[in-house]
Amino acid sequence: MLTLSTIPASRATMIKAPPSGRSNIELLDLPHELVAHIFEALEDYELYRCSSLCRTLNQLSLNVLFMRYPFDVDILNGVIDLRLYAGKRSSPVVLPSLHRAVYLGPMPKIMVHLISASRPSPMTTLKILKDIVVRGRCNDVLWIDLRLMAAPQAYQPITQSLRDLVEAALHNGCEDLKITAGSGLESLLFPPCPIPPNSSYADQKKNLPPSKRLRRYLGQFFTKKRELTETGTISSLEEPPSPSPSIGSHGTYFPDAVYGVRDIRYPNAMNKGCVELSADFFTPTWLDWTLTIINHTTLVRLTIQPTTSSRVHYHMWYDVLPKISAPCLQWFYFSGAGLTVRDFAWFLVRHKATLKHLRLHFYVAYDAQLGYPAPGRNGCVKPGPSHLNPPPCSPLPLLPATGTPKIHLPSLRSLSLSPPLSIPSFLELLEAPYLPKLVSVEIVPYLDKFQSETDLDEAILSLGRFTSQRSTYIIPASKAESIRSETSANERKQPWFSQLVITNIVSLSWIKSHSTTSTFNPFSSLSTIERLNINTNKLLSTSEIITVLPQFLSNLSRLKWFGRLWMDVEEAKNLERVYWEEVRRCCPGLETVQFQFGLVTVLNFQMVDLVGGTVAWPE
Amino acid sequence: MAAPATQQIKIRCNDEKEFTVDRDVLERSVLIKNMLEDVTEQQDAPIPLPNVSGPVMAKVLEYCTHHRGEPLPSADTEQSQDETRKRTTDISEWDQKFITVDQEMLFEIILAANYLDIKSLLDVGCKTVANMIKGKTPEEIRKLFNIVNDFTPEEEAQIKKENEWAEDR
Repeated sequence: MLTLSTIPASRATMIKAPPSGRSNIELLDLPHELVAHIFEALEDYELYRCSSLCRTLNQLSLNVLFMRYPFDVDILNGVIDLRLYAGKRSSPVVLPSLHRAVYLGPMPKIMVHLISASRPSPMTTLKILKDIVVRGRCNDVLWIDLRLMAAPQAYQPITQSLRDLVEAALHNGCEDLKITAGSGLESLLFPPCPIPPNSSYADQKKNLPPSKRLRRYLGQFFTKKRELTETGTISSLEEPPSPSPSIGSHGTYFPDAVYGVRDIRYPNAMNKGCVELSADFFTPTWLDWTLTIINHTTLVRLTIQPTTSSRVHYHMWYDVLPKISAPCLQWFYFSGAGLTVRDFAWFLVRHKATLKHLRLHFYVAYDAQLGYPAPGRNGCVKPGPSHLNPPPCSPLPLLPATGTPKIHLPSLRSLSLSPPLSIPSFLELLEAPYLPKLVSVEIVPYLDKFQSETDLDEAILSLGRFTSQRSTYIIPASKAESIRSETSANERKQPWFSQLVITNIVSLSWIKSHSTTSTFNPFSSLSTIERLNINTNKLLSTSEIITVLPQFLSNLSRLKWFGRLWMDVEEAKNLERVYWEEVRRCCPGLETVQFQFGLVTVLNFQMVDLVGGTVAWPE
Repeated sequence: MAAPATQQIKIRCNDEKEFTVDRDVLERSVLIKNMLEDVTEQQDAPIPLPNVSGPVMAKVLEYCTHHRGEPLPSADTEQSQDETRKRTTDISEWDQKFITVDQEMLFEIILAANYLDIKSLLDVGCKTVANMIKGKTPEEIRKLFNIVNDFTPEEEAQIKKENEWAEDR
C-alpha cells in the first residue's frame, strides 16, 4: 500500500521549520501529517483537485486518496495492482489520479481485478483504464492482467469497452495482455468463425465477421509499420543481436468452464528479437497484422504455440507459412497440429540462409487424415499457394511441382522433430547429406500417433542415418512407450541405436517409463557421454537398478554426470556403498549422481558426491 | 451552586506569558495531563510550553474551558469513529464561532493542538481548513493559501491531461 513513507525522499519537499512565535505561518508550513489530516476530511474529487496545486500537495493529497482504496502501487517496479471488488469502496478517481501523481514513475504493469458488481462499474473502469493506457503515465504499458469475474451474460455491456482497451494496449506497445474471464467474454470478444472447417482458408477470410474497429486499427498499424520499413530503419540481413530470453511460455488458453484464461501475446515483443505467439494470431482476424510485424522486424526467434481454438484449422498453415519472411530468423519453434512437410517447404526456402534451430512438434497425423501426398514417399510436393496475395517480401523461388525438393540449410545447428510429421520425408527435404554437423538432435515420438510400428521404425532409422556422425546431443524421448509391450519397444529401439555410429555424444536423455528386467542396453555403442538423464518414472525397482545400471554404465567410461534417477527414498537407501563403488568402478570419471524423489522431500539425498572415490552418502 | 475547588496549574508560554488554569481544563491536553501525572509532588513552578505562544494559548484555553468536563475520547472510540470523522466536516456552532480567526491563527491553533495533543481541537482546526478548500478551484485555493505552483513544465503538462475529470465535477 502506498504510504507517506513510500514517497521517494528525493521527491519530498522539505518542511519549513515551525515558527517560533507568531509569524507568517501558512498551509505548507504545517507538518505533512497535519496536512494529510486536513485532506482526510476532503472528498475524492477535492483531493484530486488539490493534487494540482503544487508538488508537495500533489504527493500528500494523492497518497490520502490511494490509501482509501484497495490499491497497491509498486513504485520501484511500476506495478499497479488495482482490485475493485464488490462491497469494497472504490472510485473512478483512483485511476486518473495515477496521471497526476508526479512522484510516481512510469507504470508499465497494470493488474486490475473487477467484478460485475463492483463500483465503479466495470465499463467505467475499463474506459478510465483505456485513458490511462492511451494518455497517461502508462502509455508505455507492457503488461496488463485484467481479471473479470462475472457471469457470462454480464460481459455484453462491457464488450466494446474491453475491446477498446485491448486496442489501446496494443497500440501502446503492450507486450503481455492477459484477460481472465469466462467463456462468455471469449465468444463476445472473439466471435467464433461461422465458416465450416472444411471450407477454404480464403473463404474463411472473406466471410469472417471481425471487429471492424479492431481491423481498422490494425490496418493503421500495418501502414505505420510498413512505412517504418521503407525508411530503411530495419536492415534486413545484418547479423541479428543475440535474442533476449523468451518473453514467456504462455499460450492461448480457451476456457471450458465459466472462468478461463485468454492470453494475447503481442508481436511488439519482436523488437527484442523473439516472440511467442499463439496460433490464433495466424487466423484471418489477426493474420495481416501478425505477418506485417513478423516480416518487418529483426525477429530472431519465432515460437508458435498450440491452441485449441476452433478458429485454427489444420489446413491454414499451407497458406500462412509461405507468407512468413523474417530475414533474420534463426529459431523457429512450432507446436501444434496440422503442419505438413508440404506446408513447411516454402517456409524453409525463405529462411534457409539464417535458420539455425528448428523444432517441430505435432500432435495429429494430418498427412494421413487428409491424404496429402507425403513428399518423401512419392516424390511429390505441391507448389506453394497462388491464390493468396503474399505480403511485401522478396519473391519466392519456385519449388518444382514434382520431385523431391532439396533445401540446403547451411546454418542449421539443432533439430527437434516429432512425428506424425513424416521424418523421412522431412529429412529428405532437408538435403541431409549436406547438412552441417548438428549440435542437437531431438526426436519426440508420440507413439500412439504413428500409423503403424513400421512408420515408427522408418522414422527412427531415418533419424539414425541422419544423425550419424552429425549429432552430439540426442534425446530419444519415447513418451508413449508404455502403451506398447516391452519387447516390441526394445526391438524397435535396438536397430535405432545399433545402427548409429555416434561417437561424440555429449548429453543423452532417456525416458524409460516402464519396468524392465531386460539387459538390453540401447547405449552400448556409445563410448563418450558426459551427461546422462534416466527417467524411469519410479517404475524401475531397486533390484532392477542394481542389476542393470552398472552394466549400463560400464559402457560409459567417460561419464561424469548422472542425473534424474527417480526412485523412492527407501529404494535409494538400499543402494548401498558397495553398489556405488561398483558404479564408480564402471565409470571412473563419474563425479555426480543426482536424484529426484518426486514428492518426497529428502533434500539430503538429492546429491550423491562420488568425487575422490568417497561416497558422500547423506546421513 | 459554587463549583468545587480544583487544583490550579501554572503554565508558561514561549513568550513568557503565564496562565493559571484549573487542572481539569488543562487536562484536555493529553500532553499536559501526562506531565501532571508524572509529577508526584505539587510544584509551584509553571509548566513550560516552548512551542505555544501566549495569544494562541489563550485561544486554546478558551476551547478547553468550554469543553471542560466532556469525556476525553479513548483510544478505542477514537479508532471506531475515525472513519466517519475523517470524511465529515461538520463543526458545532460554538466551535465554528471559536475557530473564526485569521488564517495565521488558525494554523497556529492546529499546531498547538497537535503539540498539546488535543484531538478534538485538532479536528476542528483541520476540518475548518478542509471547509476552506471545499468548493474552490485550484487557482482559488492557491490564492487563499498562498501556494506557489512549483510543478515543472512536464509535470504541469501531465496534470493538465487529467484536468477534464476534475473540472467536470
